[in-house]
Amino acid sequence: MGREHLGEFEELVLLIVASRQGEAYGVMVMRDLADQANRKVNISAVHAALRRLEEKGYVKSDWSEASDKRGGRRKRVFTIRASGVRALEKSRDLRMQLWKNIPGFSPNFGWT
Amino acid sequence: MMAPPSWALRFLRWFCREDLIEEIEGDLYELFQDRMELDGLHHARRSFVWNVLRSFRLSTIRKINFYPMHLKSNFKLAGRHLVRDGMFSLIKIGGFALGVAACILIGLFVRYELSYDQHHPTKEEIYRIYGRFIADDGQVQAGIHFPMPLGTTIADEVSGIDAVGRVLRLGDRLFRSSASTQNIFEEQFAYIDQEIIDIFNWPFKYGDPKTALINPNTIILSEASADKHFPGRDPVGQTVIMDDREDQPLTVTGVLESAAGPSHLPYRFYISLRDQERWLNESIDWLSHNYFTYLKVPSSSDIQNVREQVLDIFVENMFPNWSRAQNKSIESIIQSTDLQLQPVEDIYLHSTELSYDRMPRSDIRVIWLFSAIALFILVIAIINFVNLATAKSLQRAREVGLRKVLGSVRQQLIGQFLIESFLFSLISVLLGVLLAWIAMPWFNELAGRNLRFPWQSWWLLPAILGGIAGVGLLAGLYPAFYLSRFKPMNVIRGLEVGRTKMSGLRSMLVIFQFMASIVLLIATFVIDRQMNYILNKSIGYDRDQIMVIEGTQTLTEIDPFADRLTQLAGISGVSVGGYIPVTGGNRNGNTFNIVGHPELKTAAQIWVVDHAYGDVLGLEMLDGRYFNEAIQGDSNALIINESMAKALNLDEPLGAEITNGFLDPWRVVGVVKDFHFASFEYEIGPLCLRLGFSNNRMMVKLGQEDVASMVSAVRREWELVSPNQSLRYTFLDENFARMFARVQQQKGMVRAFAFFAIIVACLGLFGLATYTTDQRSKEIGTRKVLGASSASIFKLLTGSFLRLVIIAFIIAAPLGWWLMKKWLEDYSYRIEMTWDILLYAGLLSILIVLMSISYQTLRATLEHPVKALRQG
Repeated sequence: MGREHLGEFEELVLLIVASRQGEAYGVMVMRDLADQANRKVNISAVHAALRRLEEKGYVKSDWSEASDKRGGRRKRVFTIRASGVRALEKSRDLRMQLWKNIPGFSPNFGWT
Repeated sequence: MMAPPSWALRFLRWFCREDLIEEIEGDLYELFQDRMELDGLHHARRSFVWNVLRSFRLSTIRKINFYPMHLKSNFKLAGRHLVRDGMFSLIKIGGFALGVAACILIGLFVRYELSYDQHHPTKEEIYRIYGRFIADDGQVQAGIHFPMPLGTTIADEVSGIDAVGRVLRLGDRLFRSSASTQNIFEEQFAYIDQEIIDIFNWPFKYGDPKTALINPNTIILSEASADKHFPGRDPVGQTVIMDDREDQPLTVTGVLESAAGPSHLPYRFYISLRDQERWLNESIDWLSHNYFTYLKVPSSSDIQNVREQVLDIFVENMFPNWSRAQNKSIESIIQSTDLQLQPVEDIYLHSTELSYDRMPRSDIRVIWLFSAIALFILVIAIINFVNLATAKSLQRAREVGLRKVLGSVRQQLIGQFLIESFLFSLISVLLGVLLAWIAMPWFNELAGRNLRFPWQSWWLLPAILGGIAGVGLLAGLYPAFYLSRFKPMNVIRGLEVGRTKMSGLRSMLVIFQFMASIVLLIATFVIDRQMNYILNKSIGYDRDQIMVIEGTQTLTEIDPFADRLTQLAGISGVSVGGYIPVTGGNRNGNTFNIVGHPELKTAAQIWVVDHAYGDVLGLEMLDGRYFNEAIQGDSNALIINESMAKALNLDEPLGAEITNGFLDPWRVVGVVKDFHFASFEYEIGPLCLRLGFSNNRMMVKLGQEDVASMVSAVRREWELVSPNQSLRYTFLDENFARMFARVQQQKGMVRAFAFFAIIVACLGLFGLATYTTDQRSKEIGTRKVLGASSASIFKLLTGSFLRLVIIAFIIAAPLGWWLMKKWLEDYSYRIEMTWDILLYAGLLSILIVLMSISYQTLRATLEHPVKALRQG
C-alpha cells in the first residue's frame, strides 16, 4: 500500500475537494464535513489531511485573493489532480468488488 | 476590540512553519469572524485560542536547522582545534577532568552519608528518645541512655504508639559455636527487645522475624557473622557460647539479611532481652542509665502528645532521683530538660551534642563543608574553561570573521563553539569518571569509608550524560555567544575586538578562583595547626609503649598472671583494670559532695584502679601521694585530679572527705595533675581514682627497645593460662590516635581537596599566562629593542597577575578568618587564630602563582626580540 494508501478521513476530504472544483479550502472543507458527512472535526485536522494529500500528490494548491474576512490573508485553494481522481476510483472499485462478493446481496450504487 | 487574542497569534507565528502560517492564520481568522457573529466575541476568542493550540502539531512546527553535514564538519573542526592547541587543550581537559573527579568522589561520599537509615521501610515512624539537659551555665549535655524500665513503662502507659523497644550495647565479646572449642573475639554485640525487629522491619535470611527474640537466651546474627561461624548453612536451631559461658548457651533463631543501606546501629550479634537482668532488679531500677529506647509512632498519632506522655513518665519516675542528686527542685529540672523524640533519619547526622554513644555518626556540617568544596572546585574548573576559551578570542576572531564573510550565520557559529565545548566536556567528564574510579581506594582510605564506584546503578549513565551536557553548556555558552558576535569587518580590518571589556571579566573570574583557593589554603593551615596542637599537647600521662591487653576478664587467676608478666625482662609495670584514659575505656560517673556540705558538689568520673596504675601511666602527683600497698586503710583513700579540686572549691584538698551519697565516704590522699581521658574536643573534667578490682583489661608498660620480642613473650605467657583464646592487644597510643581519627579524616580530606582546587586553578593560570605572553610577544620585542631590561619586562608581565592574586587575598582573608573561627568554636582546646596564618596563606598563594606563570613569562622575557618582531 505505502504511499498509495488513502485513509478513510483522507478519502472524505478528497471527495469534498473534488466536488468543490477549485474552490476548496480549509474552512470550507471543514463545513462540508460537518454538513454532509456529519463529522465535526477541528480545523487543524483538516489542515493536516490536506497537507498529507498534497504530499501524496492527489491535490495541488494555489493562492487565491486576499479577503477582509480573513484579515487580509490569502486562501490556499485546493484542486484535485488526476492521480487523486484515480485514487478515488480505485477505492470505489475495490469497494464495489467487495460488495459483489457478499452472497445474496446486490446493491445498486448508481455510479456512472 | 474585535481581534483574536494577540498572544495566541504570536504563539502561532512563533512555532508555525513559515509556509503554513498564512493558510492557517487565515482560516482561523475566518472561523473567528463567523463565530463572533454567532456567539459573540468571548466565545470566538476562546475558540481561536483552542484552534491555535490544536494546530500545534509535529507537522506544523518549525524544523530546527540542523544539518547533519554541518554537525560532521563541526566535530571535525572541533577536533582540529583540540589537536592544534595541544597544550591549551591539555590544560583545559586536564583541569576539567580533575575537577570532575573531585566532584564525583565528594558527591559519592555525601550521598553515602546522607543514605544512613534511609532504607527502613517505615523510617518516618521510627524515633529514638533523646534528652537534652541544659546546665545552669547554658552548657548542653545530651543523652540517649535511659533506665531499663523506661521502655516497659512506655509500653504500658503511653497511648498512640505501635511499639517500643530497647537496645543495650554489649561491646566486644568472645564467641564460638557449641561445636567448636576455639573462642573467637567478635565485635558489636547488643541486647535488644523483639520489638526492635518489629520497629525496624529487618528482613531475615533465615528464621522468623516475628518470633525470633521472644524467648530468653536466643540470638540473631548478621549475615556476615553467620557466614563466618556457620559457613554455607542455616544456623537456626544451633547453639552458641558467649564469653566461654557454657552454662548459658544461646540458641540461634535467625539470620539478618544484609541491609539495603547503612544504619546507625552497627551491631552484628543481637541477643534477646527477654528475662535478662544483669543484676537483681535491674528491670525496675530507675537509677542507672544504659538503654537506648526506640519508638514506632504511626503517622496518624500526634507526636507531640506522645512526647508529653513520655515526659510524664520521666517526671514521675526519674526526676525525683535527679532532683535529690542535683539538689534542685523538680520544677527546675523540668525547666532544664528538653526531651525529644529524634526521627531515625536524623540520628546519624544530627547527634553531635552526644558525648559518649560509640555509634557511627557524622555531622551535617561536614557534609555541607565538603559539598561547598566540591562546588568550589567545579566552579574553578568551569572558570578555567571560560577564561581559556575567551582568551583565544583574538585568534578565533579571524576565523569567525572569515566564516561570516563566507556566509556563516551566527547560529551556525554558536553551534560550532557549543559543539567544541561539548567535545571538551565529553572527554573531560569521561576522563574524570576514570580518574575518580582509579582514586577510589585512595579516597576510601582518606575518608575512612568503604565506598564503591556505582557502575551498576541505573542512574550512573544519565548522571554522566547530564553532567557532560550541563558542564558543556555552562562552560560553552558564554564563549559561544561572545565569540560569534564579532563583526567581520572589524576583524578583517584588524581592529581589536572587545579586548578591554573581556579581559575585565577574565580578571574577575581569576580573582574568584584565587579567592576560593586562598580560603581553602587558610582552612588547611588552621585545621593542620589545630590537629598538631592536639596531638602534641602534653596530655598529662606517659603514653609511650603501653600495651593494653583486652578481654582479661576470662582469666581465672589474673593477679598471678600479672605478677609473672612483671618479672619478664623489659617490662616495668603491669596494671590490672579497665579504666584506661582513652575513648573506649570503662567509665563510671557519679555526683560527689564534701561530707557535711551538700552544696559543695560536682559530677565526676570515679575510676577503679590498682596500685600500679599511677606508675604505669606515669601520673604526676601535685600534692599528697599515690596509693601505697604498705599503708593500711587505703581502701577508703581517694585521689582526685586538679579539676575536681577546683570544682569542689578545695584549697586544702588533702584529708577532705568526699561522698557520692550511697557508698562510705572517702578521704583524699593525693591530687593528680590533670590528664586527658577523652577526646580533646572535651575539656578535662573532674575525676577521682579509688582502689578496687576491675579486670577486663591490663596495661603493660614495655621498655623502649625491642617491643616485638616483648609482645611475643607476653603472648607465650598468655597461651599458658588461656589456651582457648588468642591474645588480643592494642597500644594506648593507637587508642589515643583513634580518638582523633574522625577529625584527622576531615583534615586529610580538606587538605587533599584544597590541593585539588589549587592545582586546577594553577592549570588555568598557566594557560592564561601562556596566552597573554604570546599575545604580547611583539610588545615585549619592541620594548627590548628600545632598551628595556629583562627584569623590568618580567615585572611587567607578572605584575598584572600578582595584582589579581592580591585582590583575591584581600577578599579571601576576612572570609577564611571568619569561617575558621566558627570551625574552631567546636573545640574546647583550640589554637588562637593568629595573623601569621593569613600571612602564610598569602605568601604561599603568591608563590604558587609565580610558579605557575614564571615559566611562560621567563620564556617571553629571554626570547630574542627579533624573533618575536619578525613573526607575521
